[in-house]
Amino acid sequence: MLYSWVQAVRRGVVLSLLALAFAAGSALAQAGRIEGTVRSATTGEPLANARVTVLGRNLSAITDARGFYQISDLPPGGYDVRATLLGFAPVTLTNVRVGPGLAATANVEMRAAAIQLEEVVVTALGIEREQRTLSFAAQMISEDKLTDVPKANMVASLQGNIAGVHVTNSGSPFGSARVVVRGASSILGQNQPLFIVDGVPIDNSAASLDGYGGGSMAGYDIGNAAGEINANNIESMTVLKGPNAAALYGSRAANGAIVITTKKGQGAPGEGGFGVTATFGTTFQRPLRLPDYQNQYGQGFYGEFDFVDGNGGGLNDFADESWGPKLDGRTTGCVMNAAGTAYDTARPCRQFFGVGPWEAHPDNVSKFWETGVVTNLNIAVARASSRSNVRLSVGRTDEAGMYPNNTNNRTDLALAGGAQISDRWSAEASINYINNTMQNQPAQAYNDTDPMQGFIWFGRQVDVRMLKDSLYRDPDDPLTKQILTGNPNLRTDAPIPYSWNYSYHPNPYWSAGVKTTDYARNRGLGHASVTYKVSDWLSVTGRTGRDWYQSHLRANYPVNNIDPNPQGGFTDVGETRSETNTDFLITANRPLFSGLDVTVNAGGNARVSDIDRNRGDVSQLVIPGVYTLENSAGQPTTTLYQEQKKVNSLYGSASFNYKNWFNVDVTGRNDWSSTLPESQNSFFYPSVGGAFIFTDALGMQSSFLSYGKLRASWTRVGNDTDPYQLAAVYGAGTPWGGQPSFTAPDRLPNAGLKPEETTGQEIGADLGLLDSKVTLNATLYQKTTENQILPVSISNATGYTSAVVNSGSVRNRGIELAATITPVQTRDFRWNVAANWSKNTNKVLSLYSGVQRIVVGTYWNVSVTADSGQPYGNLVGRKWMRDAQGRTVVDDTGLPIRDPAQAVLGNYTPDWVGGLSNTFIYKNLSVSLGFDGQMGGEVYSVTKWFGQYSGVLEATLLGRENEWDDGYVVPNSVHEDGTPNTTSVLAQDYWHNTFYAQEEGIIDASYLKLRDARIGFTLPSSIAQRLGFSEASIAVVGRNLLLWAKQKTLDPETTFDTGNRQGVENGQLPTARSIGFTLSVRP
Amino acid sequence: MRHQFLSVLAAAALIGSGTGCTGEFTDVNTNPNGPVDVPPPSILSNAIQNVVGNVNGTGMLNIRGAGLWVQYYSEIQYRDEDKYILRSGTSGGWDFYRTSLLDFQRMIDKGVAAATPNWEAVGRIMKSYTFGVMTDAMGDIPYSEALLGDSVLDPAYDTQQSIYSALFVDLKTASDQIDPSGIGFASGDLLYGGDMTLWRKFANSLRLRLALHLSNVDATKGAAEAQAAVAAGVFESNDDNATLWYLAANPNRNPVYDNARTRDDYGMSKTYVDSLLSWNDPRLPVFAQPNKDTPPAYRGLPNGLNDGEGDALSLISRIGALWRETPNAPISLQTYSEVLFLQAEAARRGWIAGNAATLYANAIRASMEMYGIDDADIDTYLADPRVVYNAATGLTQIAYQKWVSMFMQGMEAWTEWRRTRVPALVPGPRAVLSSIPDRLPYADNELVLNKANVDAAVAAQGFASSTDLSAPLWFTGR
Repeated sequence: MLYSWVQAVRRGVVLSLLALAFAAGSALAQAGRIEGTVRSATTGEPLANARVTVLGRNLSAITDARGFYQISDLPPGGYDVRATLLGFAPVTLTNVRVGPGLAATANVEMRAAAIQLEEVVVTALGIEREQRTLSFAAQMISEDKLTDVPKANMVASLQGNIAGVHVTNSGSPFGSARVVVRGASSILGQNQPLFIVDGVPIDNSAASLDGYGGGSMAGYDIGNAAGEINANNIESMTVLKGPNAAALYGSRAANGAIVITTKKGQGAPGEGGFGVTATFGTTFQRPLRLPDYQNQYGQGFYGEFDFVDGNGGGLNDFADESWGPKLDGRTTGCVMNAAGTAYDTARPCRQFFGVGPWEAHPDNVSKFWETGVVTNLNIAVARASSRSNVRLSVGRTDEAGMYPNNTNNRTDLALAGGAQISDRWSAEASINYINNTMQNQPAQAYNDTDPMQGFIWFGRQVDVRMLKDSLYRDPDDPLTKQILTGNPNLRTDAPIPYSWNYSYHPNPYWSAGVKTTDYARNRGLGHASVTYKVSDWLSVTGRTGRDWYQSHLRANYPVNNIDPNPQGGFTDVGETRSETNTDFLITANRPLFSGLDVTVNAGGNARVSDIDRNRGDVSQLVIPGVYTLENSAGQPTTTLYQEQKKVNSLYGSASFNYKNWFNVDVTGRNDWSSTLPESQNSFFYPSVGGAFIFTDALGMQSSFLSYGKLRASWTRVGNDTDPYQLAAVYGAGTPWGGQPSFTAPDRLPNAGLKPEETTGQEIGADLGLLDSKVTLNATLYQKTTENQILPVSISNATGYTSAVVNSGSVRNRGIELAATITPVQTRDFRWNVAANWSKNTNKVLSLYSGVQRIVVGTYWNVSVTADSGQPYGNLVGRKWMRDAQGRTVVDDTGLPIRDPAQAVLGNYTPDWVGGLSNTFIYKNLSVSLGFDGQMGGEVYSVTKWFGQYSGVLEATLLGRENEWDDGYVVPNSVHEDGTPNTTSVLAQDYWHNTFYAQEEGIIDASYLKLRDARIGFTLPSSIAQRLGFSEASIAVVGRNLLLWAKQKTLDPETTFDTGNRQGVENGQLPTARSIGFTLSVRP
Repeated sequence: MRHQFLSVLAAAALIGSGTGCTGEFTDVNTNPNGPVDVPPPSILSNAIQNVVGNVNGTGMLNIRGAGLWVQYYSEIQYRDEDKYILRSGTSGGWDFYRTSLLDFQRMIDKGVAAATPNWEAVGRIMKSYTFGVMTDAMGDIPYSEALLGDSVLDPAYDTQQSIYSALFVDLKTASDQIDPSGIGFASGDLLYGGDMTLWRKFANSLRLRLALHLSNVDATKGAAEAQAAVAAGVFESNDDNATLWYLAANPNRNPVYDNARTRDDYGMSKTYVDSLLSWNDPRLPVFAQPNKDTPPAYRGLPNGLNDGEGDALSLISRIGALWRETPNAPISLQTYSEVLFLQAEAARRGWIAGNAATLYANAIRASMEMYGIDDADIDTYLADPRVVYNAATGLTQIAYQKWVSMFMQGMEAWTEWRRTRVPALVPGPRAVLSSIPDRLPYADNELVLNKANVDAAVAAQGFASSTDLSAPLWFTGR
């Protein structure tokens, strides 16, 4: 950690810059200033947060609540001043005269304009462009969407707010949000967009689990790395949706780019003052939805249960399923008499705690989850003078999660500043330190400490409060002795856990409290850049940035854990990732002849990425409770891994603007990647696009059609691959008595790889109607990724499992619609509506010669696949056999027969996604509601599939409506010879049989959520000032408040990492529904 | 001003100077996480562990499949395989191609390249053992075109008959080329600690086993191979056994022990326990643990029941403490006892010289000695009139006693049962097939990755599908 900062400091820029930023003060004598007020042209209201910039100089200010701004330290002369504000058309005042030592007044009136039509957006390489000149779709997310309702993962803010963007959130606290722009195009590679902060790419790796029971982080979703950027530090976030917008960023932006600009000190109160803002929020969390459990039958098999040692010692007492006796409160008669004719009422009902009534505990799962409490605190201090600015912010989030004993914390420290060193030299720099800690996070994905995995098998009669009260058994209890006899694996040199089952399941409270995990991530990211203005039309910028983080996970398994490591053990993983980018950019801008402006950019970039990982596993402890490598019984397993990649690039762009109504852009970029063979490691990609504002060009503006633009673009983007695909090395085999061994590699390398290629086309229109009270944006796009570098599976008989090839083609086509409407706007009341809708159609055009299917991942007998000729993301498993008339085929015993062929059961990609937000502002009161959802798509729910097998879900009452042995005749079923079936089967047999057909686990993933709601009140300034603030506002906020879905078992928005194996619900952690308040003040 | 301008350009050029220069990348892309090449001894131990653990461990070739089907064990929870319902992804050892066979092939290739015949021979023996298991489990499989990496991505299937012929040739070659004084294995040889003489005996013992497998289909070739094998020298005592002695510490504990630490899926089969009880077999307390009844007793669970049917779990005997509770228990690929049974059968068939009765009695004795049974108990058992060799029923006696003695070698027991159909076993009441499975499936993904070839093999052998469990294989002669 220190080392990387030492490196940054050695670059010499950061410290000196900050010193400059503070020192730069009232140096220039005789300087004048410009000040004024920005107001709404229609209502006359002062406008806060507008940015006023002195053009041609790196000076700007942000208006305060009264709409006032001030820019000082200006040498006498004439200046052009430009005001911009989201939702308003920019206004430029020309030739504002500043006399020596005098203040010039420049008041500005701004007219509400269509959001997104006129605003300035940050495009590739940090170049600010007016939306009107863009030939591609780029959508900006407003600051309020980022911070109004606090979220642990910044990426979640994109959901429903940007057309063409599909976000899937994990239920894990501080967990991942997967974002895909315009559909998945890479079969096995990265499908998430590139994240850029202040011009420097940052890491957003899915450093979470790698699926069932394993992975680099042992089953814990520790969140995607970009999600931890503090939203309070973000000034703007722009989504460059396709390869067209992102062509200049190169290969990694083939899936789009999310360009973040952080707040600097600009706009803080003028000389001598500090601007301080503080926000505070607290929210309370409860599970949004838990599975629909049945409450009629308890643990056991075939109507019987008798606990002796919980491991097969009693009748069915090993059973972790709920096919036992009816939960009617009986205290005797849980097993049959010797003749098997009736319940033996002479025998008491024995359970894990002793003898007790056999009764349901309907809320035994919901009571397990506690009320989570999340507090956020952010304080930012900013100072600006005319020649320098600096901002320091501190953020802290504390979460006491819904999972018992789980706490998560994030501390964020950001320092950013800029300075106009001389007329020609300017510089800026930032440092951001982020620390995340997650203690005792629940695992996911059916991993061993996944509590929801345990609840799929939790006896419906189990009283969870008893488990909370006792984590350990009394060693003198006779039942404990019985349990020890029945479980030779239990170690008596450690306490014996108290549980409801000793065969498969620990007490969930014991898992939460004793089986501890500890995760921490320390991250430093920052950049420094220097710009030299050669002349009025030519400038050069040099920049370097680094993103560095170190993750550490420790998971301890105490002795007498059931699985894994019943003899105790631990996993310890440390991982360091870094990415360093150094680049330069030359920008030239000058009119060629009257009406035609030309801007040319040329630059280059050198990137180095490193990964270092070390891991130690101990699977048996000598002394219980001592978690060290030295305490390992037998050799601990330790591994080291290193990876490095370099990419160098040169790029350039030219933009021709004619009379501000016609714009043509041309870009080109060449990359050299270390991951490709020397002869083929250089690849060039071009783009071209045009934008035509026909309302201006043809002079057809009217109050009905106030703005109209058509745009089109084409691009081709190359892509490299992961390191070490060209040659293979021997892998580590199982050592023998500490002696290492090796094994031949599984993957055939390919020394002749070529770059991948993505081609994108898009056309679109942007319209402003009814004086821009209504705006419409529409985009049609297509992108095709070919020559994909992938490991295709090959017959294992070759000796290998896969071969790296250049093959496969995936096409995405789609439509994006975005609209904003202001139905009502009066002096006191304003109603804004923003809607986004997008539909993406994906097709895997081809895979590899002779290959029809590539399996992306498999969970519990369902594979997520890419199938040639079909949409990406099929869910493939088994169905019941059906005859030509669609009737279920059953065997002699009346149980459905599984079709031996694998079938496509669904696809995880939605048909469309959309979002709708409404904001009502009445004087100081504002109310906003954000809905989003998706239509179509499927999820394979292991909870449903296994929950039916285990008899815990409500559906399994079918066939035991009155008694456990009622029986059930499969409706509309026939025998193999075609005769109708009338044979009744027991509920347990029927639902056990559903294990063989995963179609029973498929659910419709359509949903609609009331995602965000906020009622905010800004205190009148008189009251605020009486309290000692210049500004104060308070709000009640809520997130994930309501869910509508086609089924009631689970939240169909489900993921446990950000990889491509989506659409599988595997013991999902419940989504948190949160309600709370936020407070924001400026002293 | 001009000076400043130039310096900025120079700085820019400096940043860009690395750009486009390609030579430096070669080093960056060199994988630091593993060796490009390794000597054969270092690939042997991993591959041997793989083969032993997956043939005679808890997988489909023993406890979860083959050994379950010859009714040594029973599934006491999640009783799918016991009803002949296989989970997807199940095969008859297809994974060996990548986990072990490629390593054995590399040993052969490296032995040839380095002119080190002992490396080559051990590669051939282990490769032959593994291919023998795989073809016995699945039938025709890729052999001659297998393990060729990118030169053949869709290997054709060879007939079982041709694979057997090739294995005989390879085992002879290996036996012939072994040089006990040559360069061998200072480490990595987990079976024989580098003793090449024992490897030679293993090659010939294996050749003898494969020869007897042909009794129903090609007695001439079987006889010739058996004679040659015995002449070249087979196991002569239990010290020669091809046995992996597991270690007490992780990760080298025996797989049965490891499995029983977290799972409790398997118990003893009623068929096997009842059989040993009725014959008063002194090995029963080694093979099985008593149940938790009062008083404790040896009791198996009938095969092929639904979950929850039959005795409570506490009333079912589990697999013997020798494996289940002993981390460093041995697991064998082939034993002296089996070799004596093979010789007894060969003698009985007139393939080799020798006294079938003596060989048969010695085979039983060798098995019992392996498990530390007292001589007195052995003598008592051998004196039982049912045990005493009778030439008229000799083949059945040999087959029955072999079934008893091959406990924990389920794969070979299943192969021999399919050849001899001794003892008479019947599927459990809930079994979905009317007979005990005759084969294990090919890998599922062959249908996607090598479809034409697997389809051809399925058609040529008359299987209903690649996952057909009921079709007898060529070697059974049925």
